[in-house]
Amino acid sequence: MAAKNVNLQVEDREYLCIIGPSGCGKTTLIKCIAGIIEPDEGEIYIGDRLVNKLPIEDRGVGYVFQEIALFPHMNVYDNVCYGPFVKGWSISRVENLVKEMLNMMGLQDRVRDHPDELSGGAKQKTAVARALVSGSRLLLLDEPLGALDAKVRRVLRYELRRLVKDLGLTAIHVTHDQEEAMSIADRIVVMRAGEVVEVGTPFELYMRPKKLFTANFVGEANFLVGDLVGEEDDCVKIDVNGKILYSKCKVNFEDNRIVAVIRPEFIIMRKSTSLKEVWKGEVRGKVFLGSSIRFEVQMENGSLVAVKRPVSPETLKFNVGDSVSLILPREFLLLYPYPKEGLERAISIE
Amino acid sequence: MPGIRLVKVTKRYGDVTAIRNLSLEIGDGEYVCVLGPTGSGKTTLLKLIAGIVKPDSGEIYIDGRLVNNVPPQERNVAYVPQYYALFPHISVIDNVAFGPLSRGVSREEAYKVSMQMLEMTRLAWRANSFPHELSGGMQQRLALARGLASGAKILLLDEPLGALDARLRVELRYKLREMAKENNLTTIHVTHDQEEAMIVADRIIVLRNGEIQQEGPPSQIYNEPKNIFVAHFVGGANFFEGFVAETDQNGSWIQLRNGFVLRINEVFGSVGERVVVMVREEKATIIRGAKKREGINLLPGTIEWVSFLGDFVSYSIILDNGDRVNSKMPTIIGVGRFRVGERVYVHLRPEDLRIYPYPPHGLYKELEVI
Repeated sequence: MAAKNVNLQVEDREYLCIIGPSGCGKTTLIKCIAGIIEPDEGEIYIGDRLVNKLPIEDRGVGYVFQEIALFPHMNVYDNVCYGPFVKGWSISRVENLVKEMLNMMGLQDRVRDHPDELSGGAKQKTAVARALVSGSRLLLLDEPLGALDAKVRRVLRYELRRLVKDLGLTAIHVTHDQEEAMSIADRIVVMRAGEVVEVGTPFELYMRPKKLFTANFVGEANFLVGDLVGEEDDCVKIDVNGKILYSKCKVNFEDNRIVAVIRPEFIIMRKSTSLKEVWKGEVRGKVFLGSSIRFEVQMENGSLVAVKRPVSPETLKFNVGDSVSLILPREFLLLYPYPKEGLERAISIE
Repeated sequence: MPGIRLVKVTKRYGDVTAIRNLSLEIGDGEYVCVLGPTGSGKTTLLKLIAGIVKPDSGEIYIDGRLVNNVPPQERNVAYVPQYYALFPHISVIDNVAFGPLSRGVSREEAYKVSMQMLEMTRLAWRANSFPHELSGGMQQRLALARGLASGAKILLLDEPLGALDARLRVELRYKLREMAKENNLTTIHVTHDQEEAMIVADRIIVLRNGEIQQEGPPSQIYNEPKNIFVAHFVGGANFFEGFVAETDQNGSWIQLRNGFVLRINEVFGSVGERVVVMVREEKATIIRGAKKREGINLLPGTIEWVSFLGDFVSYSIILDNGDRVNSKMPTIIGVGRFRVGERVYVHLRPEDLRIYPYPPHGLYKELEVI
């Protein structure tokens, strides 16, 4: 089953991203909306119209394929004109719109080039221009930046969003790259194995993920398995392999077995101190990431945690083999019931 | 003795010079990333070392031996190409065992090693499947496992994580380096992804149009980029166009667009010379602008856009002189701190600024990534 019982509402003029691992159903979903595939059950509405039985060309959507799919024998200008010409628009109407679109995309100097003469980024812009010129209010993008270099992706994604917002369009953008989605989406839909796991703004999914899978898929997280052992000072008390942790998270779980989650950049790392609420550990790994450093620390209770700190004179001094003290602030320690299928299966991204 | 050495190597394909007079040394056991945009010559470089293509001029040495005329199978390298080249007619585990078996390793040992490699690449559960039954990502991991199992001491990886989901790529890159180091391999890992290069490499070689722009450990490439291309390609950078207004023994004053002035701690160029000033996104700090302030390198502007990136927040500011600045800060500090439309000052410390001569073809062309 490629998609199961999906309920989704996309707002007018929203930039929505659908993310998930390969095979999660995101491409199937967007193809259903486009009309390339028909759903076995359920209804799809675009605006107020039920479109299940409506052919692709009548749905008013612009579709950008993963493989770009430009006509190799036509130049940029003709590629972009294609849709409206086929639709029977007047020449002047087509010319005006196409010129405007090419200028917007910065392709005015490439109009006579053929696809094989274009860079990856220029090809992708041409594909987007072609989808937009159809006059659709809804733009469906299936991994639009997938074929491009990392650097080009990082630059082009903002241009995509700016374009969509400037034109007042609604966009549904499918991607496997959560960083891409986070940087440009108004809201993100997280999918897995055909089902919607969670929907939220980038901030919500990152800071307060409702599901363990989301916590692992969106950004990096540490997962610590433990047991609820009580309450103290309006905080929940947890025992992780003999070490006590506190969380401000409110819980109402059936079982005592829980998973505590904290993102690497929220853990505070100091040279060994004798403060009470610290975890002692030893640095096992250190990787320079540019503006931050990622450490791997083996805790006294056996847990291995990732800690990420911004580059600074203090953080640069920590080295592999050093003894350190970690503080896991209560407000950043999130709690989840231990999953029935086991932690590894619950968060696995394959 | 260095593991791999290239001396003044050039390779042309018709009119196109893919590799231009390139000299390079890679130490035994080193994990090196060749980083560059598509078309920079990275794959050609790998193929030259593997022996799949021959240089038009120059010499290639592997373990001290001149290998220009040595065929690939005698070079003791494992080449993992970008598009897998898996054997379609045999199973996953047989694909991996092929290398060891053809070198004469016993069946028992060959399959033991193969299973280990499959476990490392998380494919053990598909050992008896056939390549066409695997997803693209799994096929790539299979290609990797096969390369690792070959027993060669030099591993040549062409975009090894390219076909994988972003999240899987992040997880597997640590494993990749771990595997190479544990097996004492000399690794050359080609990629266009600078984040990946920063994480896995002992040393990064930045390539552009067949020429080395800079090479060194990740921190050096990041903190001391030799030119605008490297500064822009590796990490997020802000660039300002301007000219040298005044110099003294401690530094220079650079005049930007519309009268803004920056102080830098470097004595650079001559008065009137056109320059480009660079500052990393995380070094540009934002201060509230409600009160009028004055000071060195304090530039007034307005917040144009906020981007939440997870562990970082990025603010885009349009300065009053028309220049744009991106300021990146950790989420804890930066989230919700400033609003779009808010008046602010951007502060740049002189010691965080780097200066470069103005590129002959213009700044936009030099930064052109698309």
